[in-house]
Amino acid sequence: MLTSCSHEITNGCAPTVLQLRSRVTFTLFTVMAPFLPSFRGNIKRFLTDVQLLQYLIVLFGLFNLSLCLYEDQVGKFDWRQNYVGRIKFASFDTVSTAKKIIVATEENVVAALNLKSGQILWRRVFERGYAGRIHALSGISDGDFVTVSGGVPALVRAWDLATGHILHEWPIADQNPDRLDSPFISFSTEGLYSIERIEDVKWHIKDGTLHHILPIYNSGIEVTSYDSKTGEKLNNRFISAPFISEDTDCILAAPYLACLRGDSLAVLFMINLFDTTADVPSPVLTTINTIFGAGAEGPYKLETVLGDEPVVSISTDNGQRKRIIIAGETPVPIERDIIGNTSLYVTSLDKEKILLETTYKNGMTEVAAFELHTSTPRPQLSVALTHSSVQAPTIVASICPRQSKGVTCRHLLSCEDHVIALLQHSKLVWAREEALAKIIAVEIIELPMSEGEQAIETEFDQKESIDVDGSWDVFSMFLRRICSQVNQARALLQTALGREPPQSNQRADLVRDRFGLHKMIVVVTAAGKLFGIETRKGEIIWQLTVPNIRGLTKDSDKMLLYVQRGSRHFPHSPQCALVAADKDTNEGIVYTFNPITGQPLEGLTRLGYKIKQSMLLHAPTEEFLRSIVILDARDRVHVYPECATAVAASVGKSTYLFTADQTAGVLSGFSLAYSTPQNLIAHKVWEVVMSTKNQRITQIVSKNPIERVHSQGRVLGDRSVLYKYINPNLVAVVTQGVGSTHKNTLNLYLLDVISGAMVFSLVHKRARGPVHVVHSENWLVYSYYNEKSRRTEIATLELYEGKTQSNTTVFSSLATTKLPIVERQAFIFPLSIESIRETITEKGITSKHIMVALANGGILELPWMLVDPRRPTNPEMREEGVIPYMPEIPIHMDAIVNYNQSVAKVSGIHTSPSGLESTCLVFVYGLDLFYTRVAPSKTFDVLKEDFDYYLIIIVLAALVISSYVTKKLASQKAQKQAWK
Amino acid sequence: MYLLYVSACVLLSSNLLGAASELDYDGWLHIRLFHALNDDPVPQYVERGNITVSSVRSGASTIGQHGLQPSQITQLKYLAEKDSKYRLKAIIRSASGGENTFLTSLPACYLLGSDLEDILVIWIDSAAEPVAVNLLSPTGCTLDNPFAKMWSTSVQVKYPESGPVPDTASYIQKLEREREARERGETKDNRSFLAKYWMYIVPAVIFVVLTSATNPEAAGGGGGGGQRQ
Repeated sequence: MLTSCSHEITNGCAPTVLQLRSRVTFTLFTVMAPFLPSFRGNIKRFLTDVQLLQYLIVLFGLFNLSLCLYEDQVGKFDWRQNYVGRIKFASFDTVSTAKKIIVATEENVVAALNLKSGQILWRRVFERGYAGRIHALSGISDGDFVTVSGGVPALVRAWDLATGHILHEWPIADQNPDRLDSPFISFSTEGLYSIERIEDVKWHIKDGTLHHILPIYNSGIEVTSYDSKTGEKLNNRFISAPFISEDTDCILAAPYLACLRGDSLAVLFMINLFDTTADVPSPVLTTINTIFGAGAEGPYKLETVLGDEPVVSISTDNGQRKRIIIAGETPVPIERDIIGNTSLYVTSLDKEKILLETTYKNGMTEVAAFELHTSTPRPQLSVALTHSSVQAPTIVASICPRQSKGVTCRHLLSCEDHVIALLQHSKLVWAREEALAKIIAVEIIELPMSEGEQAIETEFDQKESIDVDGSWDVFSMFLRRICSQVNQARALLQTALGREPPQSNQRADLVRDRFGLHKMIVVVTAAGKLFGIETRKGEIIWQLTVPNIRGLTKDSDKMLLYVQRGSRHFPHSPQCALVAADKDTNEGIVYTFNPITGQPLEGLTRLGYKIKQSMLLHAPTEEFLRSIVILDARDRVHVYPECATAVAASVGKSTYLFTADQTAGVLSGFSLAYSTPQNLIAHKVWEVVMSTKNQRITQIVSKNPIERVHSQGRVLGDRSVLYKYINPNLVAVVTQGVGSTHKNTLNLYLLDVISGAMVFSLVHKRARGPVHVVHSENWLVYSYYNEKSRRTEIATLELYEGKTQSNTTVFSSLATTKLPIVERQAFIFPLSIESIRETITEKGITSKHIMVALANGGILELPWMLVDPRRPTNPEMREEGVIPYMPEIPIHMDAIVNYNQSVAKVSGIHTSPSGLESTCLVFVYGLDLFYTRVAPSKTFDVLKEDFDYYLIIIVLAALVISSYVTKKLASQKAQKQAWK
Repeated sequence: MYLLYVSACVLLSSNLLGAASELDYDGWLHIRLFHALNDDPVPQYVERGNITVSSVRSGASTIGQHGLQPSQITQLKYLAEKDSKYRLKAIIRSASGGENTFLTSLPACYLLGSDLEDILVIWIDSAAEPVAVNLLSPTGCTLDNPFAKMWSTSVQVKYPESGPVPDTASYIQKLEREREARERGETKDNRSFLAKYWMYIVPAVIFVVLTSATNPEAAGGGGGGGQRQ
């Protein structure tokens, strides 16, 4: 399957063609060499026929350009890592022979993990967002288990334990007495209750019965039971509980529902929900004083203690201490204070119930075990662990089976930084870095030079050699040279003798390679954890946890990662900065670190103001450090680090910032022109209002700042040039219509963010998101869902200045007033799109491809040529290298770069240039990580891997020898002729 | 010296009519213009004039603006010398009753260069609500004194163009036509000779090229023989 290569559209790249030609001639040489000298005469005709056949084969080969991977190349330049996400529910499988752990996660995933290694045995990914959120996971019984997920209607699914196959599925949607009376019932609105109340609904699965528990304010609790396999409704009970209101805090400790009401004189109610013996189950009241004694202060917080027994905990004194209550006919409060931040779990050993208290302090995790009822310590079950990857854990599942050797407890830990770890006998069996399932920001950074090259670099250090003061400097330089050469010689000797070179703090393989293909991926995750992943094998080199941070805005996890200094400025170390917000105060923070080693540089800096906008200043300081310009919520400008203020002020005239306020629909532009070297001043130069009555800004897409455009224009069929409108300051603003009249409209504005000039605007009627936009060079590709035709479409815009260029050397947003010519076209895209990004190369000579992450798990490499808006609909209007228009974009299976390595729930694609002009590095992230490299115009600057070096050496040698021989022969002949 | 300069102009540009279908309703706009001529981060806006666009679809507008006083011209020149920006604030009231404030700016030297001739472009969305106001100058940058003391403003209203849709109809028609032609058997081929027979010509050319390239001794031998005679 992998080796099948099919027709790939030839692109107009000259080097590709050249390379092909050479390949063809080589093939001919090798094939025809044995034929030529021997066959003559009567079989000559046959020979020509054979030759003709060969030419035809070669011709077919010419069109059959291979882009795809061969089977032996699988995994050679790509890797994939699978994740499940942060644990929500977990359960040990004690039934089947192959021991495993079933987990349900916040990323809407149900998976089985190998108990011994932590590897994923199988994984099922649910719907995105609310529709796939998992509400309950049942215990494991005879080879299957049940999950409840989704909103309205909720879906109940039964799964096969061994394979992860779905056994049954049924929706809970039929019971809605009020709605059934209503004449307007649609599938989407059908349900039990409004979306706001959905969080109150509780689910409980026990012994093959699913209980749906709905507290109704000031009235009672409705418990509906279903058979979890068939979906058959078993019974419907209503339990009177008039004390439940909006401010009652209710939790489920099955079979009890515990509700805490009131603040100062709080009362805890407990109702047995499934007790069928009593006709009217009555709640049992416990006052807060009976739990804590007198003197406890609110607010109180009620929590379920996970595990095998119905136990709840109440914390008091601002979460300083808490106590537990064992639910039962009469609730039993345990009169023992537990430290507030302890996480609790109840496990069972034989018939005994054991309370596990997990505390984390100074890097040490302690699990203390107590008998639940009597609070007797059980030191043989208590464990302590110090491990760098376990930070502030909670036990999410635990089993203590009695074996011949004694009791072995296994605890599954879920840590604050989303790590999943299995603890056995105070030993960490495995740990999984699940923070990588939710990546927020990515940068790909070049690796530093090797130590040998660094030594040479120091030898010719610029600063020292410029110094021309005094003649002794020459001697010092000479000395330095001698020293470094002696060192080099020693290193050479050592390697020749097979002795180990002295250990250095840098890993030997983490150095820049010749083609710049080996790089470091720096990722920021939603958990506030940073990772450095090398690209060759996907190995995690370093990790850093930045405590107590969150996304910059309230409703998104957006954090920004800036590369302040790359690895090219030896001896200065590379520097990255993370810009985020503090979790408690919401004020901005900047965290600087070395992206290669993962060492914090200046650590966490609290800014003391809220960040509205930030950007990397284009002008570096003397130490090649690019500073970050930050605009705070009160429109004041700051620079990080502060010493770079003068540098920022010096380029203030040409520095602009823009902000977008989604709630007000206002985009504003600021100029730093009035800045002084001591103080930066921003003043507003333009403001644009997208009236929130009609539309809501959903996306703002700018161009990649490192992008280079190689070609200024496009040659038309009549040999004239159409110049591209290449405005680096152009930004695409996508808004979606709101309200009834404009609900299904999609607006796209192209805005110059320096001058505030609108360049183009466009509206799609009856279209909706998700919208994915790629903005590059002079074109824009975006996908949306067409409601009218019910399909995903891709539209492209291309901007041209016209037949003349306004300024041939430099583009100025302020001087250009002429609006560009906009070419546009739309195509049908037959699959659903998750994310989209363009390839990028160092010089921009290579043609652009668009990487499209598909909902089916594939990553499609789509040549831009296929979405070229100038594809002619009329076959007579043909241009060079432009394919005639076809409404549907064909999906070639060999353009799927991740072949069978499907990736789920892709949230973004990051592309980065490599040292080779032909090659672009692609990193796809989401639930899974996938890394590969693509060559949009084929690898025109590298020889093929299977290039026949011996053949070319033999051919060359033969040519050289034969030329000498013939020269000799020719001179002899000439001599003979002269004698005649 | 305050002069009231009133001019009415009707702009009916053809490109606007072409996209007019994307505008749901026609509407009017009432624009009050304020400008800042001070060279300071905090602008001091003074009134510049009023513009009424009576129909956004046709772009017909009435402009009433105050002229510039000599002191203001000096200020403008100072702004231009300092390479600073002339800032314009537009408060637009639209047919729906909403009022929004827009801000635009232009390097002051461009206004001097065009003798106070400027173009005010008002971008509206499909519901005829204003989205952006841009001030443009038709010419380049100078620092000379302007000849005029009066603004000569032209107003343009731009609406969103309709988004592209996949052109399935013409493609199906094309396929249909091809199919019909095939059925009728009269495939009138009007392609050029090369386009029609390239698959025969290209192998032949390659054949010729390759035979001459791979048999150099035959060709060379023949040539040598000719010389010998």
